[in-house]
Amino acid sequence: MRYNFFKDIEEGLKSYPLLHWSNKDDKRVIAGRFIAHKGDIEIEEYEVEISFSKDYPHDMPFVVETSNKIQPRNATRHIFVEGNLCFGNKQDTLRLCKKGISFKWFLDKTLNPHLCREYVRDKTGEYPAGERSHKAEGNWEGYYELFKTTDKESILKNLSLLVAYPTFSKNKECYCGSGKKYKRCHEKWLPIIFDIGRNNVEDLFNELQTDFNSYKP
Amino acid sequence: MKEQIKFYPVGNGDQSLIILNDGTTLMVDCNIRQDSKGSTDPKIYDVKKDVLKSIGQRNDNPYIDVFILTHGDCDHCRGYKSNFYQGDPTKYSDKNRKAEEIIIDEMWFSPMIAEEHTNDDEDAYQQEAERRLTLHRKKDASRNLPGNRIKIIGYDGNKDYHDLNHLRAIPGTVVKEFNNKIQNTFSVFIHAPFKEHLNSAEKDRNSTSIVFQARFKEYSTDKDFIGLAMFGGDSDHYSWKIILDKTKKYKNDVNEQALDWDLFLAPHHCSWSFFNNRPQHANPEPTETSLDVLDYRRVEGKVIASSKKIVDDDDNPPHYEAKQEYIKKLDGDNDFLNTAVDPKETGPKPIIFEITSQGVIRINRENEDKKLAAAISVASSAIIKKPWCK
Repeated sequence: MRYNFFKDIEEGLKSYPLLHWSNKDDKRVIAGRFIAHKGDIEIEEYEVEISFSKDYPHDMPFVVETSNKIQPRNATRHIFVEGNLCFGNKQDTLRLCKKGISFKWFLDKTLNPHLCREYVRDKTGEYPAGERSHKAEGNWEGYYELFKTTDKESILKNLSLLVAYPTFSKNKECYCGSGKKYKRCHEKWLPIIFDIGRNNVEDLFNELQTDFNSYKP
Repeated sequence: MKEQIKFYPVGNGDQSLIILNDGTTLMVDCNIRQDSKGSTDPKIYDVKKDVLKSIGQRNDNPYIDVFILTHGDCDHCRGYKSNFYQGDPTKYSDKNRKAEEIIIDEMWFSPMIAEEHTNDDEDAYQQEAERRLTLHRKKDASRNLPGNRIKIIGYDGNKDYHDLNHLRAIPGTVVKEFNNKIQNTFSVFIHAPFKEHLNSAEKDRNSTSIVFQARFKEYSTDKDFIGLAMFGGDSDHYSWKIILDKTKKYKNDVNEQALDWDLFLAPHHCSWSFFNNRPQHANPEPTETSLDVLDYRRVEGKVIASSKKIVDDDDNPPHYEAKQEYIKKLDGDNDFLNTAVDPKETGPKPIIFEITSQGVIRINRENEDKKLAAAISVASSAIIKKPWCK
């Protein structure tokens, strides 16, 4: 079925009646109150303003917490310079969004848990599941878990397959330099690599490549 | 961030923390007992742990913006020496970090402190103050760095600091700048200590306590305050008589609402000395002036006794009859809170108030715990477990 943006948003608004369409600087945004909750337990009320990039639903919406309850408004509380909340590293978010997300899923499974953990951070001084390192290292960390290695070079080689996908063949020599064909060597990584999704990985790959090179003597 | 005032359960002693909406933190006194650190006994609250969680960090080093030591008695500064950093802030080392020593960006220092030696913590405070004052005297380039800042409260005792008058705030003034930052909606009205005590025959150190009122507005342009909290240290009824007289004389009770209170930290751990001379059986009638002070209570105002459990005996402080006098001025027992038994004697926790547009609201701990548990469970079920930011 063809994706219908407005239907998707309406579906989400049905479950969150405190949110509504609004105008902000000639732009249509979703604004209103969002109550972080678990079932009937209302945890904390935030005011939010949600807008959508052209990549939506293949990227997370932009959310600005306009009630200013999350302080200080910088990277320590995972707020971008632009003022929007950062939900996770690129690696994590891209993988989640690769098949497209729905607005209701986003509110239930991303915004609500995110505001809950910011609430926990306010009350206890800590994020319940820890947090990623800042900057590029935080992006690497996702791949460390995915490929079960901290060898940045091998991670880059794996990702390069994805970036070079159109010319990729399992019958070519494996990137690891073993001399074997890829299908007889590192093929077990293939499902993981394709699970990352090809659409947006190129930018991230370039970013990591640059970061990797910057450490070289 | 919500503006909060926390009163910690520290036995017969004082320790309070004021948190402003921009994260600025002000600590009033401390009584960090050795056995409270890492305490697993629910009867003894681990106050240092909560403080570290509540305050900010700069370059991984814990700091508070302002420390106000009302006076130098050990139940107001116990643990200062080992839990707070003393010395050049640029020399804070891994060793200090490991010991979780808290940097005090700006200390408030009453020259009445350490006129004579009583305890090591007080001496350490005096010494650190002298270190900072020397920098200011020498006009050292680093004197305004956080960790070197200092404010002198009240008048000089034996030592002469008149060349540092630009650092001084005397009774009757409103302080709006804390740690080099002007606050728009928060201020402090200084009530005491006074000059008079210097010549007074009353040699009780308690009467030289700093007394101040913490004042919160919702908007800087508002005339009215949404929260007023009175911190009296160990001040006695003599001090309060002068406070009352002076404040009225300069009409600060009307113009500045300088006597009104939503929260009143019962002076000297709910001692009879606020009402009259001790012992109470010799002076059983509370002085008129002390009762007048309590009449400045605003709607739903609460009295906090930072002391051990108050029982019906002759002990002082806390004093049972003093508690009864306070309760007479309140709407009932519920407005009188004792840090030692809140929420229960077997597991005291800080008494926390939030300053909201609706006024000063007591945080219901059970409800808070329920919300926190819910938030943790939702947060840990998140698909993206860990937040990140570039």
